[in-house]
Amino acid sequence: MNQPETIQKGLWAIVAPVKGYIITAVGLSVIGSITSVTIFILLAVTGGSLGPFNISFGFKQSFLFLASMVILSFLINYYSFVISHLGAFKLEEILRTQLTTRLAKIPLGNIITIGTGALKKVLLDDVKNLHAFVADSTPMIGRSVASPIASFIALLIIDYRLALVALCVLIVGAGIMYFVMKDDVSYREKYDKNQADVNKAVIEFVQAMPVVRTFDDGTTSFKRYNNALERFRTFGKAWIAATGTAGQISLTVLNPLPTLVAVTITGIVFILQGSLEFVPFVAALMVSTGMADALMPLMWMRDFLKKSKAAAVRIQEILNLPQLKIPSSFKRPEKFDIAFENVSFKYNEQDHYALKDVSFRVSQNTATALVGPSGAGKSTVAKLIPRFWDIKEGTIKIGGVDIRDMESKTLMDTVTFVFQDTFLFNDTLANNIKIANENATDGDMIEAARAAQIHDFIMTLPKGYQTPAGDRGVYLSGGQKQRITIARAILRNTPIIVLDEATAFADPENEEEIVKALSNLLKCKTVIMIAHRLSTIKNVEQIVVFDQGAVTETGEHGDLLENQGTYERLWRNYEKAQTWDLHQEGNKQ
Amino acid sequence: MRKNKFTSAYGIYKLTLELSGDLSDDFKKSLVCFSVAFITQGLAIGTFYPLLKRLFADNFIFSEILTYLGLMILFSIISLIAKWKGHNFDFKGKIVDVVYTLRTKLGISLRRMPLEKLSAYKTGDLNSIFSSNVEESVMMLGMVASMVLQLLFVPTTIIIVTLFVDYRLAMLMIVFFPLTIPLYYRIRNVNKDDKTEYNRSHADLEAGFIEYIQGLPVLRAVNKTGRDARDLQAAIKRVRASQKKGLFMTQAPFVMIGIMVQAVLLVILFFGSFFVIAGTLEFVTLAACIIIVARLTEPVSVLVNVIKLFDLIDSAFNRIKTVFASQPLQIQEPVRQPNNFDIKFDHVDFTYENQKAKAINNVSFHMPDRTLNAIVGDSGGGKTTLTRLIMRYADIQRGSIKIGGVDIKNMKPDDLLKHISVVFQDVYLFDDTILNNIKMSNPDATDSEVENAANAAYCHEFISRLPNGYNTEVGDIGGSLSGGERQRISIARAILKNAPIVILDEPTAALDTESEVAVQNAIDKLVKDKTVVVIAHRLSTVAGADNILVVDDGAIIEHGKHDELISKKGKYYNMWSAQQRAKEWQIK
Repeated sequence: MNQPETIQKGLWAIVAPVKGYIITAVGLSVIGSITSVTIFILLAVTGGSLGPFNISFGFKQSFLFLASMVILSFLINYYSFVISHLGAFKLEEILRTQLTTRLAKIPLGNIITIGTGALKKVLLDDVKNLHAFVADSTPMIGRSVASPIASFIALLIIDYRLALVALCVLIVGAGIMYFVMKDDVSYREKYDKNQADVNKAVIEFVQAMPVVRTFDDGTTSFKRYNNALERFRTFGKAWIAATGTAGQISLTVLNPLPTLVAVTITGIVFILQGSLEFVPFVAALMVSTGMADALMPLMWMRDFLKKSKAAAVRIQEILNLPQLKIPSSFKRPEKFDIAFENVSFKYNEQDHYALKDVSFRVSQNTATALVGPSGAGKSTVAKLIPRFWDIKEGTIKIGGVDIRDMESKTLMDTVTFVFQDTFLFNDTLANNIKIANENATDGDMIEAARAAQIHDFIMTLPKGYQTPAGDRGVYLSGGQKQRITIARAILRNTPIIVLDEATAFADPENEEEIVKALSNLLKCKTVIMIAHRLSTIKNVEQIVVFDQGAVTETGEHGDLLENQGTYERLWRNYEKAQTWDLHQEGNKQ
Repeated sequence: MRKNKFTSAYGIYKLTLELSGDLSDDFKKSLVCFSVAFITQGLAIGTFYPLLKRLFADNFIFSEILTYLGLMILFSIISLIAKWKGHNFDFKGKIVDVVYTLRTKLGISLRRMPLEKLSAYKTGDLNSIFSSNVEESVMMLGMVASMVLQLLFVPTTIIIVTLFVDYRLAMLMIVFFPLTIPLYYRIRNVNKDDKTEYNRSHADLEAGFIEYIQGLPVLRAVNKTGRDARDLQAAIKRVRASQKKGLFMTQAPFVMIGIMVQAVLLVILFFGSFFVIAGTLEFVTLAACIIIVARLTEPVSVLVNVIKLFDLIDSAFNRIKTVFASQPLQIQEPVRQPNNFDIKFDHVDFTYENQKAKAINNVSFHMPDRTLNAIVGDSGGGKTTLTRLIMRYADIQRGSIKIGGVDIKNMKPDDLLKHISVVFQDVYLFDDTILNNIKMSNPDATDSEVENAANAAYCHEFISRLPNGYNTEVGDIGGSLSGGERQRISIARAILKNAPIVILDEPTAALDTESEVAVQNAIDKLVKDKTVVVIAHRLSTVAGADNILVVDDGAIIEHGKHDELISKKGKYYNMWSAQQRAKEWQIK
């Protein structure tokens, strides 16, 4: 039950914005516990006033007092809950706003690496987990701590001897628990590890299933899955053999019966001796078990805290991601040529360089193609220009200005990256295009759509530009989505375009339209494109050839072919792949 | 609605017995133990009536006090022992067996699940059913059983004991304790139904997050991030507002249950005092009653936790049940094996589940044994659906699909899939050695057979260059295999399987030129002497096919060889010319 201190710190640090709520809720729940103990004592006393005993309160007064205490107890507990929940709601809003704001400031590359799914999980589920911590655990912690202490103090006041008896029972119980659970932590770690292993096997089995069906009748993959289950079972048995008895003992000991019996026996002895009165005895019986009762919720808390802690850690990881550096004064480029000067770059925590000492220049309004085998560094180069990542060695300049000295807005207004995925917002087609430029008129938008070869298609839709895109809207093919994003890029009208050609042709039935759309987009711009269809770039001003992170050749198509280097090999392969004609050797009649 | 809740508790009980299989007797035994434990706990507490009465009686008999004290100790010991025994189910390894059995059964269901059903699940959903749902529900079973029975038996026993002592006090309890039942419903309903508004705003928030994260590059470019992402901020605020709105409804019953016992005590004291003053109730009995009822604080206070757990288990079990409930596709009698491998569609209609429009509309074709057949057409036209149907992805609504003259419904699914190899764009590699990954399609293959297949698939060379050759763990080098290399491993798999039918679904679409050539070479080896069905975007790839099916809107609109289709000047001709024109495009 003693969580290491760091865990608490992480958790407390993250809930700090609603500290006020938490403290109030905990405070109220402590008062609530004291009220509950008081009610039990009052019950004994009020009841006692009916009996043949000498008690100074009248029944009526004390009953009314008692009733008002019960109502008070309800109100206190209620407000404790309300306040902790209000705090939790507020915390959710604060954390989500913080997280989304942070996401906008960290390198986009991080976001791609972490992935939409994982980020969504943090924003949604982990934040929800902390909600549960603030809303439910904090009052519970208050009560679990205050209730045994209040019970003990009350018992001390009623009869110190009975208090000591109840305390002894509790100490014996806690002692047994400590003794049997002392190995629990190390076992728990092993258990968590095994659990993670079995989960991995589960995920593999489930995820692979649709694909596996096509090459495996299920025997092999099922065997793997089953083996993992077997291992987990074996471990589970070992774990339970080692810690099961401990758990069993604690669940049995964490029971108010032993305390109740002990207090009853000693109480009767004292009564027979004449050293204990009836009313204190009844009061003691009612209060004493409050000490043991409170231990049960603490058991619950353990897994709960662990979950919240893990959530807090994940949230903090995101909040602590380093932001893109912001310079003290911003510069604006006047011209739009691009220069890579001795750029070397490593992805996070990787040893090898993705780019090694890369230098090249792209003059304004010319096109440069990046070619090379996969993994050679082409897309890294493309992603460095819009600062998906920041480089540590070398400089990248636009119009002579280091891109790190530009305001992010300026850079964004200078470069458009035509993305791999064609992302549309869940909004109308008009807004999906217009988001590029808030000041654009409908006329500008239509012009952009025309240039992107998508206007005619949009006009065939019953609602035209007001048709919603996405789940609730019209079904758009990959090529249609692509042309809408091209329309968006055309409307943005930035002087530099970075383009990944391979993905631009993923949807061949629209190929011709997309080609036209791109031609319109690239008119009079500085263009850097990753080219896979080498035939498309035969005429560009410059081809930069990459291999293993370094620039191996630079030049025009013809010169490079004469060089007989990497490019020549790529070109040969390209022509071969283009002319591939699937055929079956041997069985042609 | 209300009835359902009771049946759901009973349903969980039944389902538990069903799921725990051979161990259901153990579970029942543990339930009996818990019942004994809580009845004796009630009895132990109930002994306060006679004990206090004797203790404060005028004619004081010591032996009687000892007897009742002894009785109380005896009941307590029985209760503790029975509780101990009851926990044998979860603390002596039985529960591990249940988890094991349950997961195995789930695995078997998944293997048999029709592919259409399978693909309707999000991977994340299935993962959580298999891992956390099983975990949550089964691991907590013993604990929940114990708490539910405690709630049931301790108060009942106490009420019955009280009935013998003073029926009026018992009546008071009978009248007031059931008041928790409406509160119980309130909480359960709140946990489920009343959250719809909250659920809706939450679903919006989820969609909003996905949009925000994926749209971030665009949003950043136009400065609509963080607080300026207006729609997202509104969604975040809406969630908070809906939570606030539901606060009173959700919290009041919880808190009321928390002070329920205190309230009942107050009522008993109030009425009891009248009885005492009227002389119809002994004062000591009232005192004993108050002590006894005060003991219910603990079981009642866990009620809230029980309900939460119950909901968790209920929904987990229901989700597990949906996996079990999905019926495997029926195999028609007589079960037959084809002896040649032509593929014949005869007036096939197919509609996807939960969709209105036909995905395949009256399609007939014949692909003779060992021919090359191409399916071309716009995306969304039904090309992939056709190949899926050959694998019996789902059952067609009309017509028949035959392989070698045998309706695929007359084949066992495992047999059917034995005859088919598929190469997709996506490749799934297991976290295992390269050798085992290839061997997966034919576990009996020898190492040299694997090597031959790898050779034919043009992957022997790069595999040999890996640190441990064929025994290199894919996980260790995961990221460093290129798309083309992964694809070639999957082709080696298919070559090793040597199935007479080969389906190729755009296997090179996602590759760069360099890898494409190698993969193309590998495919050339794979398709030799097979009945081949290929989906290709680049029409020149399949221009040499024996038959080309042009699919549009779920129907075959043209078919024939390349030259025939070109001379028809129809859809195929248009597609072909557009591709030729696009091919010539150059920047500048």
